[in-house]
Amino acid sequence: MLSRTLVQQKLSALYANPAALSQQVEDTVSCPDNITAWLGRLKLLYGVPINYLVPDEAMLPPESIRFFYLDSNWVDALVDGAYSIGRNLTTNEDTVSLALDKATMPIMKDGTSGASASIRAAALGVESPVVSFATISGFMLRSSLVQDYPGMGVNPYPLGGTPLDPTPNLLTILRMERLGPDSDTLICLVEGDMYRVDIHEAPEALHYGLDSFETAGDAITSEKTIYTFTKSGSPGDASVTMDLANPKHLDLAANNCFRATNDKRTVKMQTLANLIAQNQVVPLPAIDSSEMGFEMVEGVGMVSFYNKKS
Amino acid sequence: MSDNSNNPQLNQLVSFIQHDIPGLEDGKYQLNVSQQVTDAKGHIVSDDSLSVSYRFAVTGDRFRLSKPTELVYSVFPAENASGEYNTVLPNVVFTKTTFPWSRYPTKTLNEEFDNAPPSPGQDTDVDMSTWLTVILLDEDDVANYAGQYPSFKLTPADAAIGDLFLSSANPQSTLGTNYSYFYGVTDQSKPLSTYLDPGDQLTDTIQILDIPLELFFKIAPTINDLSLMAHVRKVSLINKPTMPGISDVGEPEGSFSIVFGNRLPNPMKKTYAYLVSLEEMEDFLPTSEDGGAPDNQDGFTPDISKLLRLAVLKSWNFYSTGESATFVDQLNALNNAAPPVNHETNADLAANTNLRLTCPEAAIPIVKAALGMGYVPLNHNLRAAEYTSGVFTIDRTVSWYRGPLAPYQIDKAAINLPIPSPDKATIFDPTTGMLDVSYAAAWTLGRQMALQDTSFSTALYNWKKGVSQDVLDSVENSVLSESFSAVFASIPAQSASLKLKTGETTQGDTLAADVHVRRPLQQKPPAGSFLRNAILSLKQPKN
Repeated sequence: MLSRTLVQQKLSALYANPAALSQQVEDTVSCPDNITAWLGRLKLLYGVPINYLVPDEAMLPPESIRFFYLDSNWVDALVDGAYSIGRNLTTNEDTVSLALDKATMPIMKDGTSGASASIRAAALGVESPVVSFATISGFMLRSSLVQDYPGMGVNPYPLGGTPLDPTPNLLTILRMERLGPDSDTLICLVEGDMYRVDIHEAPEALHYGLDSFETAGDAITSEKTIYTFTKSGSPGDASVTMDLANPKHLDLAANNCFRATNDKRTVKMQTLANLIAQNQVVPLPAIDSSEMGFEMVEGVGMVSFYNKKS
Repeated sequence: MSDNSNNPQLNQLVSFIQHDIPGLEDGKYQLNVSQQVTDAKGHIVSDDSLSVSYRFAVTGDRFRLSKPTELVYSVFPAENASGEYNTVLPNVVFTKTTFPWSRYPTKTLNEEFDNAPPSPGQDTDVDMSTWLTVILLDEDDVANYAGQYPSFKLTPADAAIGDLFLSSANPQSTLGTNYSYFYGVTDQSKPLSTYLDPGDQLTDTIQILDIPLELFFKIAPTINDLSLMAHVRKVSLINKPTMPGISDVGEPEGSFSIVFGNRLPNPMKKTYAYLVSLEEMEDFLPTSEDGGAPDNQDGFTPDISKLLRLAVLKSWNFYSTGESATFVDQLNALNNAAPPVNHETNADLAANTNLRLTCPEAAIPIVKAALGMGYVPLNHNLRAAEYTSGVFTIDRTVSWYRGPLAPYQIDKAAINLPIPSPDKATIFDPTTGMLDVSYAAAWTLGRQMALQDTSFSTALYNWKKGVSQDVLDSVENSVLSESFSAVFASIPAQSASLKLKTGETTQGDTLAADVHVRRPLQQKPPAGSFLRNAILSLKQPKN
C-alpha cells in the first residue's frame, strides 16, 4: 500500500505549486547569518570592481563629483548571481533547484537587507537603521581631496529636508568609504532620494591659521580674529561657550608674537597664548593647549552640492 | 529660510583635550615585588624578605614610524599641495592619541620642572610638552648656510640608528663630532645597544636631517612652546567615511592627536616639512622665547658651529603660492566649475553632475538617449565562433552596458528572479538591434564572486541542500501521516514516545545516521518514526 510513487507524486505536486512550496519553506527555514552577511555586503556593492561601477573613466573624470541612483534590478541580478550557486545553469526554468531558490528568495532577501543595513551601523557602534531599500541614491567623489582629507564629513539631505527647510532631515548613510586604501575615489550610498549633500572639512584635521601675515623689510603685519569664550563646569570636565557674535581682532605683530630678531616667521607660542588669554572678556592668567587649540583653528569649510537629476 | 543653526543634528561637535598621557611612557622597566610577613605587633616573623623582579619594556616608535600609513592620519598642508599657505601652521594628525606624549623632550623624568611628566599611571592637568614637532625649511634657509655647511640638504638622508652616535662611540657612524640624540655617549664603555629601545638595532634604517645649530636655535620651539603645540581632538565619526581601524571599530566617536609646527611657510617657495623627534633634546632647545642659543642651567653649551642630526619620522613638501587652495576652494573647483560657483543654479554644471557620459551634440538621438540613461557601448565577445580553415574566430558585437549606478531613478522591476541563466537577463533592443547586457553582466559577476569565496559558496550550497532535504522529509511525513492516520490515532500519546525511543535504540547505527541529517519538523508526528523505517528504502526521487 505504501509505494515510492506516492511520495514522488506528492513531491512533484508540491514543486508544481510555487505558493505551497513557498509556504512550506517559509514555515521551516531560516537563512544562516553568514550567508545573509555576505550577500548583504554584495548588495551594497562591496567587492564589485570599479570598472563595473564606472564602465568609462570619462563618466567620473579626475576632480569631479557625480550623483547616481542605485539600480535595484542590477543589484538584484548581482545578488541572484551569487545566490545561484548550486543551481544548474539552464534555459529550462522548470527545475527543482530553481523552484527552491524562488521559494527561499523572500527569506534570503529579508535577511540580506537587514545585514546590509547593519554594516555601517555595526562599524560605528550605533543602532541599525530601518532601511526599506526602495530608493538608494548616492554620489561618487573623485578628487585629491579624498586622499588629503580622509575624514571629510558628509551630510545628505532630501528635497524639503535641507537645513534651509523648517524640518531638516539627515538621510541615513549605508556605505561611505574610499574604494581602496590609496584610492582618490569615495563612494557614498544613502537611503532615500538625496537632493543636497554638504561636504565639510574634518574637525579633527583643522589647522592653526592666522588671518594675515606679511613682512616688509623689518616690519611685520599680522592679525588673528578670535572668539572669546566662557568656561563652565568643573576643572576636570569643563565646557566652553564661544561668543561668535563678538569677534576680537588681535594685532599679533604689535604684541610681539614673532621672533623678530631670529626668524620673523616663527611664532612665539607662549606670547600668543598669553595674548589670547588676556583678550578674553574676563582676562585669564593663561590658556592650556586645548583652549589654544580651539582658539587658533580656522572655521570648518563646507560646500553644498545639489543633485539636479538632469 | 529657517534658522537651523542650533539644530543639534546638524552641528558638528568636537572636543579639544589637553593631552592623553600613556600609563607608561615608552622605555625599559623593572618591576620589583617583595614580601615580608609581620605579626600583629609589627615584628617580622618571616625569613628574609622574598623578592622577585621582572623586566619589561614598553615599545613604541622612536626614530622612525613602523606603520606610517596607520599612524599618520593626515598632514596639512597636504603633500605636494600648492596654495596660499603663508598664514598656516603645518600639522600632523595621528590616529594614536598618546603618541605625542609617549616620550619627552626633557632629559630626566622627575626633574623639578613645570612640564615634568607625571608618575606612571597618574594624570595631570598641567600642559605636557610633546617630543614631536614639525620643522619647516625652504631653499632660502639652505642658501643662507650652504657655504658653511655643504652637507645641509633639504631632502632627508637615509641613515642607520648607529649614525646617531658620535663617531668616537660608534666608528661606523657618519656623525663625526656633530650633535645628535646620543651626544652624551662619547665612548664604548657600555655596549651601544643599552641606549637603544628593545627591538631597535644599530643597523635599522632611519631618515635624518642635519641642520646647522645656528638655524635650529632660531626656529626651534622652547620646552614651554612645545606644551602648547599638541592636543587631542575627539570627534563624531557618524558622517565620515569608514576608515579601516579608525571608524570601523564599533565606536561612534574617534580621538586623534595633532602636532603643530611653530613656523609659517615662506611665500612663493617650495616648503619642506619634517616631523622630527626632539626626545631628550632639552639642551638644544632655545631657553628664550625669542629663540637663540640656549642658556642651560646645567652648564652644557652646544658648539653653535656644529650640525644637529635629527631623526625624521615623516617628511613632505608643499608649495606656498598666492592662490587660495582651501578645502572649500578645491571642492568648488570640482566638475571644472569656474568661480563664482553656486552648485544649485550653475547651469554649466547641470549637464554633467550625474554619472553618465557627456554626449556630443551631433550624436544621433538613439545614442544620445542611451548615453543620457547612463549606458556605455562596450565591445562584446559572443559565445559563438566561426571556424574557417583551422582557425576559430569569435563573433563580436557592440552591446550596451550600464552599471548599478544610474543617472536617474529606476522604479520599475525589470527582471524576473531567479535568473536561470545570463542569457535570460540579456535584453534585446529591436530599434537598434543591440543587446543590453547590464543585468547579465551583474548576474555573472555575482556568480563569479560567490565562486571565488569558497567559504561562502560552500555554506550556501550546504544550506540549500538542507532546505531541499527538509522539503523531502516533510513530504514523506505527510504521506506517512495520511496513510497511517488510523494507526497513529490508536496509539496513546504517552506510549508513542516510549516506542519511539526503543525503536531508535534497537534499530542501531543505520537509523541513527539517517536521523541526524534530517532536521526535526514541526509537523512531524513523533510516533511516525518507527513506521517510517518501513519506507526508508524509498530513495530520494531524482528530478
